[in-house]
Amino acid sequence: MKHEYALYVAGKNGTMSRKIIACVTEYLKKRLGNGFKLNIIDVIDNPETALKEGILVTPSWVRTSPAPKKKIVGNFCLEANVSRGLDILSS
Amino acid sequence: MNPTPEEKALNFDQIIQNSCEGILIVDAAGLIRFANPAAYRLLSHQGDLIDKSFGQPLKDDKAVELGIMRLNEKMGIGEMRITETIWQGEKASLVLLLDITELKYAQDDLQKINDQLELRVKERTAEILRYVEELKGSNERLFSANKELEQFAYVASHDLQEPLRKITTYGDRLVDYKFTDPKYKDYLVRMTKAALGMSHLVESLLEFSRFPDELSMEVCDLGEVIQDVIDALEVKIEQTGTTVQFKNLPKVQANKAQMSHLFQNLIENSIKFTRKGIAPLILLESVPENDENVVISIKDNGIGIDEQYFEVVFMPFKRLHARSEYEGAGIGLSIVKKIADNHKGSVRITSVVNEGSVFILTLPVVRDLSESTS
Repeated sequence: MKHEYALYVAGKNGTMSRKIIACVTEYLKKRLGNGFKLNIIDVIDNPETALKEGILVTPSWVRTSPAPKKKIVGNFCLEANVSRGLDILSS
Repeated sequence: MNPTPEEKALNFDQIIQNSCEGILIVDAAGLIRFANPAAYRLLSHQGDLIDKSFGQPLKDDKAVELGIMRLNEKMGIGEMRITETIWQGEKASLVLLLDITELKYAQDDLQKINDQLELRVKERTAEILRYVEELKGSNERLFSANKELEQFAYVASHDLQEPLRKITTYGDRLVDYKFTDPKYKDYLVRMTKAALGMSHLVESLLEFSRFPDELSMEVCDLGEVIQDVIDALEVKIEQTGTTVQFKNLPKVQANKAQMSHLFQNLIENSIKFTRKGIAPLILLESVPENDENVVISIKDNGIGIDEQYFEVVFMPFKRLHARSEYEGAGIGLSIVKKIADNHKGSVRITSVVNEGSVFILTLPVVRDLSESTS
């Protein structure tokens, strides 16, 4: 069963956001190969989606499937953080 | 007196309620269990924050920069710090949120201004460099054009002398011829005179163009140079009743022949432009200036010139007076200027009409006199 994630960033073309997206995507590939789906949601382009999903801050990383939903916030530019983050999301 | 536990609790509560830093307690499931007023302001969400999902904060040694969602507003920027804590017996995170939106935007603006400034400086520098290059190019062209012109003036004046000499020579021979009408003789004399006049002009042109730019320099005692000039002009000085005085003249690094030429021209100029009935008085002296230059003033009591001609007098072939009034080709002062330029110096004039003129000659100082003279 595929893991589905949503990554909420502010301004996907910003330096910081690009770093976060690259870091998370790379790490997911490393851990899960092709067994995942990652939706990048730019809260500046889609504020309604973000607010409806109850996103308070960015970056927020959410495991959307399998249930239950899990969400973490933090600095996802570092591989060590992403690794711990994925552990929390997978627990 | 120590505060009572009730007082302590009250104080802490006041601190938390009044803190401008947002304080949140987030449980292991990522739900908000507590939020102070600053946190409400920061997250500016309508309704209750309690039990809303914040997301589990990832513990970090450093402050984490976050985007803050706001209703109907631009995103804010916050700084988050996380400490592990216990809330109602369970592990939880104490989240401190600081609003740095304005700071961040101000920094961005500043950065933008800086970037623009840097860009503009770069543009201007490039522009200036372009101008410098252009200027270099036109300077080189000007320099070679000047050289060519001098060469041309020399060749032209040299070649022009020959036919003029022929005209005056044959003219002189014809003077003794018995003309049928005396007016023909008059014509001949006028023609020869004109040819002679042109010959003088060409000679002056030749002289002006003959001065080389590169000179052999030596240490010259200007006092000696001027004494030699006075000796050479002895007859003229006596005839005109001129007094020439000089004092405190320094030594300079210069080409002696040209210096002599320069002062001869200046003194002759002063002797020439005298007021009727007033014996010429010429005073040469050095004026204290600075360590870089020596300044010599050449003062006369002649006719003086109007301020509007102060620059024109140094141009070649510029005459301010009719040839009948004062003889000459109008070349003397332009040679003075050229020699001063050749020595990396300068010459200028100040003057009062009917009182006299002062020529001010500036020359670079001798750097090491003892070495040059030894």
